[in-house]
Amino acid sequence: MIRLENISKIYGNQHALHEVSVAVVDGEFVFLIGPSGSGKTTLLRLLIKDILPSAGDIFVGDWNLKAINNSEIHLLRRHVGTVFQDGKLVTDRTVFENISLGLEILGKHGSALEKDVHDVMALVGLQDFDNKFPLQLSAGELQRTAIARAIIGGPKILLADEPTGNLDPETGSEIMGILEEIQKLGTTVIVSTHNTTIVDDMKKRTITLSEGNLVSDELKGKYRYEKKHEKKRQDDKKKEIHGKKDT
Amino acid sequence: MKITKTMWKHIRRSPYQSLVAILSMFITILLTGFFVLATFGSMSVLRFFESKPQLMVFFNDKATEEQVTHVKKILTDSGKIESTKYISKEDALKFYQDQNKNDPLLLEMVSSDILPASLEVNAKDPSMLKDLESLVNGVEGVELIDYQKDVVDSLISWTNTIRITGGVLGGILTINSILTIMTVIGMRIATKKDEIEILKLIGASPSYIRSPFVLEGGMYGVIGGALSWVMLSIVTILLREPIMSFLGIVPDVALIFNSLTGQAFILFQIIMLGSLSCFGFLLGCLGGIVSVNRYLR
Ligand SMILES: Nc1ncnc2c1ncn2[C@@H]1O[C@H](COP(=O)(O)OP(=O)(O)O)[C@@H](O)[C@H]1O
Ligand SMILES: [Mg+2]
Repeated sequence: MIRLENISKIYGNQHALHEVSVAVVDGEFVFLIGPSGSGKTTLLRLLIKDILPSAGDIFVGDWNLKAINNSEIHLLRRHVGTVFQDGKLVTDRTVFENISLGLEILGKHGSALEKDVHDVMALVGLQDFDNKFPLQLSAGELQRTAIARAIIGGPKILLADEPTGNLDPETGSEIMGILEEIQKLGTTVIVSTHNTTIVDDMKKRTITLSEGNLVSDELKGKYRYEKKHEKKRQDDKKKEIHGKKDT
Repeated sequence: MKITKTMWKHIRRSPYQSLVAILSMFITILLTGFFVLATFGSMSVLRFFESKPQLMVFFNDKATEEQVTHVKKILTDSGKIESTKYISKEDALKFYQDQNKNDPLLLEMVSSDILPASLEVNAKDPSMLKDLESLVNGVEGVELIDYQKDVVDSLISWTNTIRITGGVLGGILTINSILTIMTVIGMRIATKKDEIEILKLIGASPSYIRSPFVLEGGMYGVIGGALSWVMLSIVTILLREPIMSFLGIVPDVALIFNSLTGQAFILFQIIMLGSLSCFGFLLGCLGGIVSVNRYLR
């Protein structure tokens, strides 16, 4: 369970979020959309107490984020895995090492760790990438690595900040497929994006931000879905007409 | 295992920083170790002399029993002595005969008339010897007062000099090496800033993030300590001969330096290696902790 109550965030004199209230229940898949600068990253960073709200309360799981002190923040961040907008991979570590970091911090090591890392690498489609360094990866492979590291510790919640940001549409939908897969395994997933095509394709609950305000919270994709059908109907009609012509 | 691997990586990547850290540890531990050894050595020599009869009061031949008792009383009343032992002319002869029983010529030359009666006095502290001497000097019946004034005095002043020099120098060097470790670890933290930030964001505990830096400091200390052990053990082996000839009469020294393959010497080396590396480890960890608290909030 995630709950934001009247959250505002002001950087200096820049209002990044304005009295946002929203709740996400366990196991949901939620899109967070809005143009660049609308406050998506700010909202996600608030959820792992990377930054503090200027006003309002945030509840994640059993925590009231206000009450978590510095020596406990890591527990919250194990509960909430994050795929950062800029990846945040360690450049001088290989793909394998970057992903295993997510388990090492939990005190795991040895062959159990190795097996888990390879399992997750298979899940995100990174077999045979063990010894590659981040600089040798494509944007899509970087995203997969970041996702693998975020989920390997088994978080209850996964936040993904523009995971399809600079991917071609095909790779983008592959990444979305992986995130959906993760949600089906029981994780709450929140994905921020400004790519409305993908949102329209997936028909999920969609929270829309605009200049720091929550402007809508609804099931999206229906429109596109109908449009697709309409197009198909039109195509069929055309075919029908053509068919008639032919005969 | 993992920590030694990452440390090796660090050392390879910035060998000069690591070298400086190790060198500073080495010098600190070497000198501190040297002074600790010297202090222990001089203390055991001092203890040896302290355990000997320290003040001998010789009586002239006409001294009466009352006069002897009187001297004894003066000394006892001063509160500065531990014990006294009266040695009569006959006892002195027996002692003399015992010591020289292999030399008939010397035995023949001496009769109990020549040897004076005496009082062996054990002072509570060698620094009180001078006072005791002045107490009984000139008292009736006393012929001569003798004590190993020079030896004990110079031993005391040596021991103090060694302690003070060692303490001051060791203190300065210790602070210096803690600061060096702090700086080196601080640089390490600066170069790993991004990684530390990432670790924090993905849920690493503060101790997970901090301990490698603290332990790296500790490892520099252990290496410095081990190197200074190598140096000190070479020195002790090379100096065995002169040490034995000067200080062979001191039982502690004789026990250790009697044989280089003896149990005592090997145990001495093991203890030295253990304590030097431990000292280095603690010192290095301390530097690491200071650094981590300063540079990682
Ligand atoms: N660290 C920061 N300091 C100052 N302003 C910031 C900071 N982070 C974000 N902002 C501002 O807050 C607003 C929301 O930013 P952000 O949450 O990154 O939006 P989004 O992720 O939707 O693009 C923007 O106007 C941005 O300039
Ligand atoms: Mg953003």
